Amino acid sequence: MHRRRASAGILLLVVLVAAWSGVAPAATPQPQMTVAAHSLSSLSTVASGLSAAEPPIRIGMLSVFDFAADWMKNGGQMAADDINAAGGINGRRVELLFETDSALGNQGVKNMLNAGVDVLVGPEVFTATQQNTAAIKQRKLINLLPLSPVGEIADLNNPYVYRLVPYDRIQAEALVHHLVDVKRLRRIAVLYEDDFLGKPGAGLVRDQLKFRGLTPVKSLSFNRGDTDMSTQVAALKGSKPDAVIVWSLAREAAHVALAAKSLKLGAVLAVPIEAAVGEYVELAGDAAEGTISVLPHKTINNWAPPGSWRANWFARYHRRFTINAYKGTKVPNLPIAQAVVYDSLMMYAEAARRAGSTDGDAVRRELDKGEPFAMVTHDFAFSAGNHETYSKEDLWAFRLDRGAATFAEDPRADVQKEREAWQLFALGLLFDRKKGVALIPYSIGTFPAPGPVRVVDLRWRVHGVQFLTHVDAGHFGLPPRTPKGKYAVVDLEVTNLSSAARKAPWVFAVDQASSLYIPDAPATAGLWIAGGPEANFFMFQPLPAGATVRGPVVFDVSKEATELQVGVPNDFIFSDYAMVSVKPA
Amino acid sequence: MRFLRRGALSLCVVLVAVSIGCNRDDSVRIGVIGSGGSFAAVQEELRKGATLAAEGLNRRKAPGDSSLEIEYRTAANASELRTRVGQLVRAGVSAIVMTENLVEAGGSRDPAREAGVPVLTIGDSSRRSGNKAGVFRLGPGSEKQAAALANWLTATRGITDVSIAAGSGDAWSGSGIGLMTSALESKGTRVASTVRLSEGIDYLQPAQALQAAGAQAVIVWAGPAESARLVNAIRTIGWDVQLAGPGLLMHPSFRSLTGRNSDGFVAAGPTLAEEKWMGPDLRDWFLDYHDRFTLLPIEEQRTLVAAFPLAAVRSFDAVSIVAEAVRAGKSDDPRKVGEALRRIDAYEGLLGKYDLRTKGGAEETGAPRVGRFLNLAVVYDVEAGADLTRASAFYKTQVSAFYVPQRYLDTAEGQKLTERVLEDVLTNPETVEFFTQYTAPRPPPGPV
Repeated sequence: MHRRRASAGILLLVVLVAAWSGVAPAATPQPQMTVAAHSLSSLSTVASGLSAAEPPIRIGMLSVFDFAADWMKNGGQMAADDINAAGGINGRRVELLFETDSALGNQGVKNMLNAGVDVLVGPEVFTATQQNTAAIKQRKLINLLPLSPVGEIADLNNPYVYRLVPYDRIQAEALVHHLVDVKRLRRIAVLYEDDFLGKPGAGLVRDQLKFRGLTPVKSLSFNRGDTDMSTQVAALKGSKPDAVIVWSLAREAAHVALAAKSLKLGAVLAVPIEAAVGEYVELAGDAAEGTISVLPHKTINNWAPPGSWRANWFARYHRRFTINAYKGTKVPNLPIAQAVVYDSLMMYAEAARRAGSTDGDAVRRELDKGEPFAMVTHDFAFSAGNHETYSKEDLWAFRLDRGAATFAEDPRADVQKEREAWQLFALGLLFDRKKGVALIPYSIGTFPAPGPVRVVDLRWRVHGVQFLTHVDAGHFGLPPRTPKGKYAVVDLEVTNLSSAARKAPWVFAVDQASSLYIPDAPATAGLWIAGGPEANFFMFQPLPAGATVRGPVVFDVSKEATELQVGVPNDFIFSDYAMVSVKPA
Repeated sequence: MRFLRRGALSLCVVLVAVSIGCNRDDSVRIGVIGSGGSFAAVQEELRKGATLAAEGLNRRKAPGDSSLEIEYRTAANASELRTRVGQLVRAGVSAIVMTENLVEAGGSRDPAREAGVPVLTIGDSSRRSGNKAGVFRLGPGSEKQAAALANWLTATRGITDVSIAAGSGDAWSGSGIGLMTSALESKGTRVASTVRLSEGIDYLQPAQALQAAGAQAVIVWAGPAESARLVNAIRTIGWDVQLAGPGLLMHPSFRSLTGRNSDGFVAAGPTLAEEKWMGPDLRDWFLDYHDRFTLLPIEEQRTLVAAFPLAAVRSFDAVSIVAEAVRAGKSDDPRKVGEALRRIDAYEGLLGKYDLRTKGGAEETGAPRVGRFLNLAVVYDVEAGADLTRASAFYKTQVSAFYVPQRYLDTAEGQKLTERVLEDVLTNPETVEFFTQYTAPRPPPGPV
């Protein structure tokens, strides 16, 4: 039976550094720029109504790897369109300048500086930022890093550079803390990609182990692009590790996971977030199961509930670019990296609006005020002394289970709640069963009860809600069903306006604290049982064309819930949905 | 858990008593034989129920007291049965628990009877059983079941022509034709045809033969697997005829093999009130059973209806009754145990109250209940004057698993079940049948 309280709901994980997850990078960095400064391509759109006389604000979008370039393109385009549609920045439209510099970005930054961009987004390789920090500072160029996890911004001593994702030191701290302090594992091995990403990551892991009086039982490396990791894994196995921390990009980490499974390594695999998502799941398949990583603890419950603009952002993205499910799973490969790119532009636009200027100092003063910028992936708030978004405490451990992450792994978690969240995510809530791809629902709005709401060919209304302490079936001495919180019984009426029969649809609810609930089937069944022979189980009641049904749906909501938003998607799996706000009489 | 408290009390007395009266060694031994043929489906349940009873009693015994041992054997056929019974007698068991068809097969050379070892049958019982023969039936006998079915078909459904299909294997299956013919004819109902099924053939042939005979109902008297094949064949040829059979077909494997083809099938099952089904004693027992052996919904079907191992419950009751007899007789000597069994008049078991003094053997009180299957659940709404509100509540309770306690859901199997159902609900909502609406039986005459 599906769970009473789905309070956790969908794991719309805000996987902040999913950026690295996908495609293998180019095999050999090119020594030359692939695009000269004068031939930078402009992909911007111009919204009508913007001043043609004012020059556009030029935003440089710089990447090193092909997959990162794709994320930059999608996230950036979506942001630019939204900014321009909303009147631009201080009346000026924005224009995007894209460049990919596979030679680790150093020349790319220079090209962007030469092109005179007003703001720079990227690249994902921190050395490019380090090598050009003086020029960036001298130009007072706001440089936002949505995909760069290496190094520390503070070391740059550059007031114009901001990072929007967790960085490697806090990831190393959180991973080692979880493995050693929480799981009490002592024999830790390190396997890393021998490059700008893996080497410093492995070094940070060693530091964290040393801090705890430990040294790696084995430390080995591989090259970016390697696919056969059996030699390294076999050597690791000989050292009998409890856990292996693999610091690399996703594809290489997946090959490590495959070798570990093949050779029966028998150790926990732990990776930074850039290795744990995207292609890692697809390539490693079952071998990815049980992998541990760390993320900001953001789920649909505490971050992006149905009906929220954040949830709708993903729905809009899906409609524009299509979100796929991981191969062989029902888990959507959420565009988190693209969302952080989007956030970079939107945050800059908002700061420039607040400043009334695009001057670098004016914009950074707004960014440094500490007033939150509410964006898709985070409420960003910086200070003059801290241009990092996250701290170690923000990161929670999660485990991959059937391709989806579960925060039940973290000792701070409400295990039941996280498990329910994982269940919904892994078992197909965001999966289009007909097309076999991911499907992100779109909310068309929240309306007051008890007015009718129509979504496509479904008309429904909420007649009311009442809170109960228990549900009694009233037969055979069966004990009443009792909630963890309290029962909310929603009196729902649904009309099938289509010309075909269907079943009454799925229903969900969100309380004022953004907790998502799916129906409590056993409690709803209690009312069904007590209702006598004629009573139907509302949600699965056959609904002929033109027919109307009315019945109760029970949710196990938190004790603090005072009002609910009830949602009824037109399709059982959400295509579009509306919500109705209702309070008990 | 009331029954455990009762069990614990019983155990203490049993084992203290036996420590005084035991004449062989420190253990009280009870033989259990799981049979093949029609009863193969319940073989393992028999062992598990007996094991659970013994383990529960042993857990609560005082230091130094005797323990209870289950001597489990299997027998594929009648000749093996005789061998196994002889082995158990020689092993010094105080009593033997087994299924009824082995009693039938025992014939004149029954080693248990010769040695005075009492036998408790957990399934159907034949006319040969009886406490005077040292055989104590613990459920409604085959004769009673046949009579209940004949009465229901005739008096309640107004059916006048019935065909009978009997299983191919053992004596119990074969006895079905005689028992049902006699019961139907006593009601003035015509037996349109009889068919003895034959393993290995296409069951569409007997299904068509039965249809050609023009009966309004077909009695299927065979084990669950064979019955399922015939029922599926009858539904495959599109024959909307009333189907009915003995209580053995209450076994979940029958519904597992037939799926929704079992809808409307009527069986004469144990006399078990809904309150007992859903009551705390059985619910707790099933949780204990699950913890020890795993209890799941009916296999191979999208359902939340549990595969309740009723044979295991009966076996549990049987072992508990023997323990009670040992206590009462202050001895584990089989003859004294037999005598004590004959004096038991109101043992409160999980499946009802057992009175072993009756002439025909031990039975829980009351006649067999006639129920039908609906969406894989058992529903008691086909008898005259049935309370449909109560029946629908019983149906809904089963199909929604409302009775399942959180303790079960928190187990690994409970979690898997939750996930399986949620996945089904999320990805195949149009075909979800867990919560299919209750529908009352069709009015007579004709099939329900």
